Amino acid sequence: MKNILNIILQMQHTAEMGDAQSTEKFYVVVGVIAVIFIGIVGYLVSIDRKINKLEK
Amino acid sequence: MIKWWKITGVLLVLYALICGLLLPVPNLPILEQSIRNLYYHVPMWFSMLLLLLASMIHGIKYLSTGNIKHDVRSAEYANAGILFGAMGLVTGMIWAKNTWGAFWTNDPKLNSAAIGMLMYLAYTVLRNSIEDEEKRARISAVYNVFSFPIFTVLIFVLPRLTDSLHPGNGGNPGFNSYDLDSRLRMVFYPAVIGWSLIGFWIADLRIRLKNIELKREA
Repeated sequence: MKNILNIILQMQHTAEMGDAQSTEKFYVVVGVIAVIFIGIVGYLVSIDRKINKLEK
Repeated sequence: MIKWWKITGVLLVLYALICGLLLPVPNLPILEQSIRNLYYHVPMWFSMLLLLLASMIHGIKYLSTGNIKHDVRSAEYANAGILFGAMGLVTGMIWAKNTWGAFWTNDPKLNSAAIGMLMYLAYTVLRNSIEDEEKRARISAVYNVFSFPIFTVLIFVLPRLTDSLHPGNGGNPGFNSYDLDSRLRMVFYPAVIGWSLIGFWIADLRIRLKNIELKREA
């Protein structure tokens, strides 16, 4: 009996998670964060290259 | 050419940023989805610790060789470490507000971290207050050698001797249940390594700038 209850609870939980994951606009936020990080890294790379030139 | 370890750092952080948001996490009371902060808040402290350790090692190297290049490295690793420590404090405060109900609690872990950060702020003040290059290098290296072990004891030993809200301390088993969770480890470890590499990259940029400055002055 307890096992069945657990299984049902688990199924409900995964269903909820599924709903949460399927809110597609969440991926927009993930994309934005990735773009911001890539932008900052690009800036770091350009500073790195400039210092490289100065060292020569 | 951008060195391989910098690229590795970027890729690991990118992976941790994205997968940290998308992969499933254990559902725990109070923490709920904020458990994902483990991937962002905690790596700040790990990176800070590694940077400060590198700072102390170069302090010791300066004391044994007298080479000013080690002093430059020591100072810049400490600066980058302070930056990551500040990020750790602020992100921790946001997390605390939303799980414990207050930005700051008089928790041993929090107060120790704050004292530790003040010790390193004092280090920068000390450096800036000494004009003579050699004197500054020697005194700040000695200060560094003392402050790193004290800092380590403050944030890792003392909070464990008492009760603390912060996970991993005292009577709080908070993280024990998911410390061993492989889903969390899969993102957490790459995040720690990646952010540390980024921290060393930022320090590396400033070290090289400082070395160019020194060359011009000479």
